[in-house]
Amino acid sequence: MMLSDLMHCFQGVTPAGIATCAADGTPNMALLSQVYYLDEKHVALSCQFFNKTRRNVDQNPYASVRLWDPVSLQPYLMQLRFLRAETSGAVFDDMASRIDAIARVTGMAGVFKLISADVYEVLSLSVLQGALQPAPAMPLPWAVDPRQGGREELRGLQVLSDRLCRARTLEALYTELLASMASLFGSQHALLMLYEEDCGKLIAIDSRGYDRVGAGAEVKPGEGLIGTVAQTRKPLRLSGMAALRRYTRAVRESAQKSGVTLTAEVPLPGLADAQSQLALPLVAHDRLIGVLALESRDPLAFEDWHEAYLSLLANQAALAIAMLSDRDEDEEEVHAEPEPAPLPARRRLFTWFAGDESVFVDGEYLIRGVPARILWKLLREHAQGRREFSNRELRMDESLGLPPIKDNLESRLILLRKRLQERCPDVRIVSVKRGRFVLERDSEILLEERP
Amino acid sequence: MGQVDIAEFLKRGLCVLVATRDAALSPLCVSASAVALDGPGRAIVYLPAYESAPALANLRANGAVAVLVEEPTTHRGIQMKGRSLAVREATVPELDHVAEFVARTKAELSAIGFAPTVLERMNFTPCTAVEFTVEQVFEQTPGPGAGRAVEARA
Repeated sequence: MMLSDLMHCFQGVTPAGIATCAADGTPNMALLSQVYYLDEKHVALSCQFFNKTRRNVDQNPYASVRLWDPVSLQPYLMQLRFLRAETSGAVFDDMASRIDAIARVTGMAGVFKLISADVYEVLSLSVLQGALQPAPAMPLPWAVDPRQGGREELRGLQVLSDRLCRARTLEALYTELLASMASLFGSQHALLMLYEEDCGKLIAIDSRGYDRVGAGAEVKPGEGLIGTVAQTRKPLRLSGMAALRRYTRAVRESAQKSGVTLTAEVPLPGLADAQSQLALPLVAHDRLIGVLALESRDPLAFEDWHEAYLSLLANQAALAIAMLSDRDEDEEEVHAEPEPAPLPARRRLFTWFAGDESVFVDGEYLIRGVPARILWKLLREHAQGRREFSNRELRMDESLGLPPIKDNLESRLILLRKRLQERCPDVRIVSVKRGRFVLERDSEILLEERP
Repeated sequence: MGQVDIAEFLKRGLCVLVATRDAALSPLCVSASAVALDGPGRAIVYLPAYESAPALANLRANGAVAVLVEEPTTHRGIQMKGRSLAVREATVPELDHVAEFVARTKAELSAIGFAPTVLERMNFTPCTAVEFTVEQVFEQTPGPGAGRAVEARA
């Protein structure tokens, strides 16, 4: 049996047990939150507290670790020898970023942190025969021919790459990217967030598989899984999140008894009962474009290879977004159809709050910041009889405060369009050709301004 | 030093892990089916036959034992350390206790999402009883307090 055959056991879905022995011959038993696979002969254990286990291996380097398969509960036993504690380097950084993300999403920042990555040599590995009665003859979900699986995934990557290259607009690109996550890669819950440099936040632009699109939701870099990925620009995967939450809750209670102050728990964006998450940074030309976040209710939905090949896809998507965002629009004259009269007895009241530069519709929050300024301009000019607008004139309008380069205008318009679809579907922004759009409405529009 | 009511804690649904060691101080981790108190300062842990042989050999040779009991839904846990006094076959009344303990363990594992078809396959018997002295008790809930000695409340 190979150590790599146990990859499911290394995802932290079921905690591991570790036995060590002090120099005086007293054994000690403890739990471990995660065991990390390094190579066929080495694993790393996370040292988060200077505890008895660590003191024992400093005196006597041998340890015995019991792992369980998170689906079948088949136990395995590894006999280990402690080699060294790493406090920097690739292994430490990778383990620390995962633990840090777990800590941030569970409000344990500063308490649940990595002190060292303790590297052990694997002296022996055994399956504990007899622990389980024979299984009914049914293949495990992942027991497929890996060569066939690889071919399928490569084909999926090729199809998506093709679709991204053919997308002519950013909106089409976002739609293809998110739709392909489900149709090609079986990931039913996906969220695309774009980084807005002027406000220093990630803004949700579109999603698939959730009750609401959630366009406009904000995440600060460093906040939760998505914010951590934005900050570190490295993909991050959390598996077995129910188990992680239980484990960190135990640490939280223990820490509170010890008088440690904790920050408020930050709710995870997306599925309330997500069991695994994978977030990928979108980086082009060394610039953060955004984050693509995938979620699943399956605790083992994402594995090492998902992280690797979806990173290829994320790189392609990032480059495509950057290229389409930078492309100049065509500026041909088109003549929109005359605007139909509003439907009788329907009114929408839009309110501009100058203080925080936000727009409310019928008393409910709609949008703020640059997209709000754009919407207010469109609504005011529409009230004076205009209907059709161009991206170029928005760029020329200094009152909107768009940055001179990398203005993300098209993405801001997509965000505005999605927010209107969700909150006020009878007022719409409709593209008539690249770089031009009309404001359509089925209802009478009333405007008011407040401080 | 904090206090812990071991008898009360052992009424919960728990998983049990046992550490022993050989003459070269090489530790060994095995799972146990159940644990029970056996009068003041004494307890009995029940080791399933499928993996107990090397642990029982260690216990017969040097007696050093550590028993961790942990509640899977909360990860609350305590550890008892001592020395084995006797290694023998479990009696029929003890096997009834083991069955009742295992039922609570399975209910806990079910609560964290393991399917009945998975839990039905787990073997807990036959098992061997190991009587041991409880010389030290430690808080074992993960976190900064893990490993702190606590006093067993009578």
